[in-house]
Amino acid sequence: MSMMKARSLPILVTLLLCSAIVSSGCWDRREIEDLGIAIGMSVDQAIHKKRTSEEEKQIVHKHKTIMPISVTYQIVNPKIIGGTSRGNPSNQKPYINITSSGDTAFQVARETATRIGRPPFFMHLKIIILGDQVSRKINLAQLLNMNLRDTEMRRTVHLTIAEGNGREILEAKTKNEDLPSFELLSLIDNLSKSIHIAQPISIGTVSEQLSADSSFCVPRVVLHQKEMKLAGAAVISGKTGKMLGWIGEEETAGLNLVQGTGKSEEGHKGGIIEAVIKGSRDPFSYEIGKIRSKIIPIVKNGQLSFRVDIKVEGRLGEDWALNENAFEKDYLDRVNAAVKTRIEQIVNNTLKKAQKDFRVDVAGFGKQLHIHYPKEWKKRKENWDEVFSRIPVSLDVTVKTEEFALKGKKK
Amino acid sequence: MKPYAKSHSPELVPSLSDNLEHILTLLGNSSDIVYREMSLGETERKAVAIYAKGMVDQQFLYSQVFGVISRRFLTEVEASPPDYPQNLKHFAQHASTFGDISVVYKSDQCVSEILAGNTCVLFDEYPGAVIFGTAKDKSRQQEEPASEALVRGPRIGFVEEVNENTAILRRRLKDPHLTFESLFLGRRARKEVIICYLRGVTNPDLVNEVRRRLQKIDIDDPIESGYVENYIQDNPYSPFPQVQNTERPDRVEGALLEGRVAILIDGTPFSLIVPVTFPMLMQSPEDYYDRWIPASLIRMLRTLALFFALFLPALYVALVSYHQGLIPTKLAISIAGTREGVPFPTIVEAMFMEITIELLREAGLRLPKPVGQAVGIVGGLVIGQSAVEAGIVSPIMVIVVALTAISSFAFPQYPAAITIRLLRFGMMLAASIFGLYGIILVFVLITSHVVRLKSFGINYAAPYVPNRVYTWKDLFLRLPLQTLLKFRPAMFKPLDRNRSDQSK
Amino acid sequence: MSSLRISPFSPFQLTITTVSTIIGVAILTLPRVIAEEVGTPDVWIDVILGGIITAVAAMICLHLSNCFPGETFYIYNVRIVGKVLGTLISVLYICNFTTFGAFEARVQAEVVRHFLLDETPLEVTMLAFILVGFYLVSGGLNAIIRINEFYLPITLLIVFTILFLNWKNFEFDNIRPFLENGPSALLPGILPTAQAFSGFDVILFLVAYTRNAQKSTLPILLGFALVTLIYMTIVIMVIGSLTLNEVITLTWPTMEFVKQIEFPGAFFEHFEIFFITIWLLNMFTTFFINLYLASLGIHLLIGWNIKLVMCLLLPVIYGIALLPKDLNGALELGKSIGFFSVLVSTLIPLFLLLIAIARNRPKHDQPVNEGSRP
Repeated sequence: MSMMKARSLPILVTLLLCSAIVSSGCWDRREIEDLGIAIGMSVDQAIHKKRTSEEEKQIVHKHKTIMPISVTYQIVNPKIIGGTSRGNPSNQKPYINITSSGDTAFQVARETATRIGRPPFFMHLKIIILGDQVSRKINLAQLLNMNLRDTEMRRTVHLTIAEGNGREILEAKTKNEDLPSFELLSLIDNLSKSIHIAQPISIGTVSEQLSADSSFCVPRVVLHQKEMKLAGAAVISGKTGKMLGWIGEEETAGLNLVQGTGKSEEGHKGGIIEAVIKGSRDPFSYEIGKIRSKIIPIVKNGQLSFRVDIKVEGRLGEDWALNENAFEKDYLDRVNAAVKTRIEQIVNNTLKKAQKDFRVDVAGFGKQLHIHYPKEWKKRKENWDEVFSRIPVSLDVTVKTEEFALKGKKK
Repeated sequence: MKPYAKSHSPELVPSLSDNLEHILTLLGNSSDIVYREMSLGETERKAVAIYAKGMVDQQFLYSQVFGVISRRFLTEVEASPPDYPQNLKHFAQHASTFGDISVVYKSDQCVSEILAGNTCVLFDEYPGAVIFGTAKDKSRQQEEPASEALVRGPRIGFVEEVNENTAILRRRLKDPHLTFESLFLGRRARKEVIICYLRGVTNPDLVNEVRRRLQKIDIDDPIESGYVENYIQDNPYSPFPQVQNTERPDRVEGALLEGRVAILIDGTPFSLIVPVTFPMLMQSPEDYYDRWIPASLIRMLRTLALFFALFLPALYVALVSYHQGLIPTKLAISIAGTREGVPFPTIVEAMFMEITIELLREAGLRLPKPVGQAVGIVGGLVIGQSAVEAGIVSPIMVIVVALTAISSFAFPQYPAAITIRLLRFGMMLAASIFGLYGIILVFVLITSHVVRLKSFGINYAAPYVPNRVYTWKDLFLRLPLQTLLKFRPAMFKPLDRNRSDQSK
Repeated sequence: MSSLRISPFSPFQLTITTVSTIIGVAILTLPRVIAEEVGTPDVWIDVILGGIITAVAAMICLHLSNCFPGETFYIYNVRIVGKVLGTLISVLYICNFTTFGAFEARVQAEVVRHFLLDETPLEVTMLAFILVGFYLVSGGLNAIIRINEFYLPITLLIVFTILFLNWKNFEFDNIRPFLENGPSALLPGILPTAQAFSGFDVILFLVAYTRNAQKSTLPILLGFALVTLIYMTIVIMVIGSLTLNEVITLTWPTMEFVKQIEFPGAFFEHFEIFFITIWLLNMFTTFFINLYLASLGIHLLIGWNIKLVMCLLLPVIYGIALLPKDLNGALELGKSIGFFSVLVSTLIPLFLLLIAIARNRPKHDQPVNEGSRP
């Protein structure tokens, strides 16, 4: 082979490539304005429609026992939000909610594509709301499977469970944002401000927990006079992936206290505990700054127990006991003691609920056992939730008050 | 020296009229050639001075040359025994206080000297001619080159006369090692081309290679240095320039001190510097005149400009058409909103805007100065705004294109900017077919090409490749001059690497 | 034979090339592969062990090559074991490189389809990849070395930035407990890790063109340390952020890890753009050297012009890349190649070294065989 031919071969080959590409076209091109950008979605129990006998015959797969689900996508209407000069009258909603039913989420997604000109695009999905009924009946792993498997969706999508139907949340009135989904998202961002709200959880984390068969909590969203509000959490069993029940705001606070600051994406920096100093009637508010808690498994003579060390640092937020003098050291000690008592009360309540009522380990006790005593863990890990409900947990709470803000004394 | 014509050129003969006739044949009957007859002393013997009107310094000619010839020739020359060649030489040495004077024996030499602006004097009975160097210094005012203006720096630029340019360089760089080697290029035009280098610093292999490539050039007339550049570059098919060109003497000075070679060409103020690497094309002399922290920041800004100029439109097309999920959500909604109603796909929109900007740019170059500026700015704004109003393009596209255009203006050297413009279109096409994958493919292609390219033996991607971190001190940042100027860059393989006193 | 025109390069450049060859597919799959094998979160220790073992194997390769200065493996292995066996071994390596190249092409097409271009047929993606690869490789070995030098700093910068940015998602508890099942439980994980390090056998071929090859020991060891560090950090961060059980279920755990980075409000919400870019660049660098060494082998065996050989290899590689039916098939192919490659890269050099020593290896001042030095 002469050198000449060898030298022009790369050029020839490159030309071939170019012509091959140009002639066949672009396969994946989708212009952005042709997409139905779905920001939020909700999964609810479908109104159970009786199938006719023809439809029964058409069903090839034998999934008659599965309850059909109804999925609502909240698709943004960019013209209203984004479009500038070509203005539109603002009585059009900036979003569209579209609901379809089916047996699986994927089926519903495909069906939706037949009903709307712009097929839903999920890469910007930010939040999923599950209805409580469907969460109780179907394993979350199944409900969320499409989201986790499909590359369009991300693991960082937030999950919440609604009291009632998720669809109603997507239709709620919004205060600050254009879309209810964005509104809910900004509420979740506020989670760090209060310990009474459960830690935000993403479907990635849900998947991780379910893979490990460990139980966890998902924040609850409720409709309060047509507006949405975050309060409390839903408890999900690690084994079945189904919802067991609700825990209220105080119990959620207890859970957060046990898990401490380090666990969530942004630590709980805030949260108020109201307490009353022994002997007085007036309450004061204690603002929590840092929570450092550790779950310590103790194995003695083959007996397992846990101790939770909670160290709280904070400041005096508001004091209705006007006769007290914050400048005195003694006073602060009494404040600390009162807060400690209150915290113990809250945490014990929570543990009781988790162990007695739900019989699950929501706070990650098992994980700590696994880390410190792998052998003990191995012995017990099969039925851990059951086992945990019988294990005694003791508390050791320390409270430190950093400062008391600007006003210390009455006179 | 290249022979003027292939045919055998006759020597000058002792007959004046024969010589004259021969030269007339060679020169033709151009109206600007003057044949001035003179008598020698009191005798009947004649001499003829031939010169090109307009190219000679007439005053000089009349007072010095003619006077000397008519008065002193015979006395000086004929006083000694008649030995014709020696007589002429003797005359040249003694009789004239003239500086530039020589003797030639061939008619083609006469002709080239006449054409260079010198005066050729033929003497009766002498088979030779005396050449007086009377060429007029007619150069324009030195002014700062328009294409390479700096905020801080000497406001001088090269001019069209190569001898003037060598003078400029000499004045700036008074090193006795500064060497100029002259050669003549062009079969018809015979332009003087001067190779400049620092003897003892520049690697002789490099100089030899430059000389070799220049001598290989077979061309009618190198009208501009670009012609020479096209002939001596390593790879004519590459979009990248492998030879640097500049009008600024301070750039040349810096380059010579680094161990590079400069080529000055008569007839154009644009000199060539070889070898060159891509990172050098992104540098400006101003980087060294400023302090190192601002200079480093500006360098980084330029790297950002390079990134934008090359990738931005392609990224826009790829993200909006293919990977919408990778754009931040709020931005995606904005873009979708503004693109509602735009009839064209993103790639068409992008191509349309980019081509419009290119047209505007070219148009701005051709228009006379005051109008040109206005057209550029106003044209851009108006067209962009109107296009958005008409709903042909989306506002984000206009921003992308504007940002790209501004970034490409940030390049200190024009050839680099042109290259990037070219490559940008390739990127956009690739992005329109394969999205981000296409961009990556083209990126790999471009870097493959750059890595294979050499400029006079130096890797085009030096000093980034090979990865020797200490050579990066002038690459992304500009480290303080104390560090920078200790050694010459090794990549040019200079003979003397020290720039400062190493004994300290 | 001397149509090669390879300029000698430094040991540092040899290391960079070796490192670029090794870093490839494994970045995406390593966490899952070893997590599957071992099942405990302390698998990062396996990475260190794997690194050490392969570093030793690399030293054997280096030492072997240094016994025959100036000669590339294809030449000197014939000298050690004779023409028949030597040619057989060379052919084995050529097949190894070719298949590896095909595997790279296939896997990158799969990943691109998965994360970037859903609808574009694999055939097109692979074709584009192979052709672009060919353009560089036709520039010769020096071009490959230089482009590795070009890409490696970018790769390192982005990998470490991304690893650092994911700090928020990292939970130390996820990689505890250590040595839960005792150190012996980690042993099964060493084989897949060693597969992740495969590619170091390019040393056998490249030392011939390295200046001062005797001084290569330290640079190569440092290179291995770097790769080990990168792999180890990735495994730790990925398992730490996603938990072991989850990692086992994910096809491309590292990519999911990268997708988790979120700076809401900052311009780049989605950092996988950068990660995919550098990963693709690394796939290219691994492909380049594989294609080149396969072509080099055929060139030295048969004597055809090397550029022609490259052209002829392209359809072969393309064909092999098309063979696996789906992603699982491709990953299976990867596993078998990896396994085979580890075997070949560790055993054959060892074997050859021993024979060479047994036969009294030629001293350094003996005349070197013609036919390999440019």
